[in-house]
Amino acid sequence: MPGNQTKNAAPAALFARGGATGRGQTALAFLSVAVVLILWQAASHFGVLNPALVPSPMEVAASAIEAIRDGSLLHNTAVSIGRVLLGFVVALVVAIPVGMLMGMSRLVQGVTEPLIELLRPIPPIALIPLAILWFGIGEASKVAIIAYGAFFPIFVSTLAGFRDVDPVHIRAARTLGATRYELFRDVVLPTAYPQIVTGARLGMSMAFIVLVAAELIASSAGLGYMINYARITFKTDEIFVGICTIGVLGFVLNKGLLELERRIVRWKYL
Amino acid sequence: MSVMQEHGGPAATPATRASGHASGETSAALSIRGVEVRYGELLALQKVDLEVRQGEFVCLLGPSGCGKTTLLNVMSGFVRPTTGTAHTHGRAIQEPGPDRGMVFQEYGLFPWLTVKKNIQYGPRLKGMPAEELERIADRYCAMVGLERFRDSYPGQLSGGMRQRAAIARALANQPEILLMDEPFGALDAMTRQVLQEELLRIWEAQRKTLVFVTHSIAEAVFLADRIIVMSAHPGRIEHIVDNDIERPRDRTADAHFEMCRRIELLFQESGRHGG
Repeated sequence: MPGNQTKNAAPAALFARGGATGRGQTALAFLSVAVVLILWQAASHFGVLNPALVPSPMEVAASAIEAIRDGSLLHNTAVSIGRVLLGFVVALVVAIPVGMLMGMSRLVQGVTEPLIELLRPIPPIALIPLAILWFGIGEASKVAIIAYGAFFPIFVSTLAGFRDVDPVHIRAARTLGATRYELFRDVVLPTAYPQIVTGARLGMSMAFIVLVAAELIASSAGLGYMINYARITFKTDEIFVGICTIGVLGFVLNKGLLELERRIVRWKYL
Repeated sequence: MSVMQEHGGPAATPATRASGHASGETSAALSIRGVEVRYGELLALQKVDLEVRQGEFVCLLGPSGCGKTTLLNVMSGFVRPTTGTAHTHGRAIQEPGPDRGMVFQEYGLFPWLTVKKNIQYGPRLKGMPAEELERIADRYCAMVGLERFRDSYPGQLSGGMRQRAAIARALANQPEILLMDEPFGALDAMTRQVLQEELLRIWEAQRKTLVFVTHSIAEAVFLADRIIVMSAHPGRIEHIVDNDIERPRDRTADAHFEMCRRIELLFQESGRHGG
């Protein structure tokens, strides 16, 4: 078929164009960040901003270098990442099986869906007092809040993934001789898998969003603690260091997971 | 010239609306006797009797709602008849099985597998060794002309190429019977003709029993040995037409047009065409 060749060449050309735009976008992103920083520095320099409330970028950078030098930034970051990962893993372990069972069984879905829909609108922060009562002021309550926050994105995506199974794929596999187990392994799981990975990425983002709130509970380390402590001692530059660290960490993790996602579900991004 | 009969010719296994052929038919590739399918109140298929011979190319032809896909699904085992029996090579059809390969209008390829892996899927389930799987992929990719696309994903292929891959996947599993549910319905007219010709070439080489659902008279006339003319409300077999136009067939031949015309008239008679 003569038409085939063009059909196959088209995605390659699109991809090349996408790559060029990608590089252009990266340059643009750096530019916009740089412009904001320069304007901010200028505003501080000419006294537009109150240095007690908004320190200049240079001051924030100096404070960050200091925090890196004395090891406090690394320590607080490590503690926070540990909590995020632990809460994230707990969320994964609960959300994936629940989403899978609900996606595959109308009965389980009918029983659990109302409960989950009632819980879903409750912001994780509203549960902090309860978490303190239930789990105390130690690690458990912080991890519980993070896990609660990360649960929903993972759960919703997993559920959608298992519901997404195309009947024609099931029919095709059955006529090729697949058993029930093989249908699950070869059709249901590959369908759900990309969505589970997407859910995990969104859940990880949510874990970071909830982190600072969780660390407001009587913590003695972590980025949330660092920010809160800096407020008490009125060191706005340290607050900014904490905020920026969370921003950068979240950004890097999201990019990394997005890249991982693209690699492991390559067929979706053709 | 073409012979058209309600009942099969001398060479044909009787395939009539009236059943009652008791013995000597266990060798029929497909034997449908007194099959009715009801969905609640709806009578999807009314009292069907049909025998398909080994190696025969049969088209189920009719408008939507005539039960042609339902009948195909009785053969595949996806639909259990409400009454009556369905056998393949003498065995009762209980559920879908690898002895009856299927090709769907929506292709049904697994988008997460390459063309090669899709084709190997059935044989792999059977536990074929790796070298054998490679040979199968080579052979069937070549058969449908997809050698250059064996490592492509279905999402990268055109509709025609996807359906080639789906046909290769069904054949690679070595079914006794190939069931095709409007396989070319979603393709443009030119691609459709090319694939019809390729399907005939493959069928002539392999001589699999083939049941092909279509609503295109010209397609049925070009492909089939026997055309099962169906009508709707309720779905039933209206006529069975022996299509003995000589092969290789020519779409521009008088015989082809004449046969199309006759079948068109059959539909007009029953007043159900296009329903």
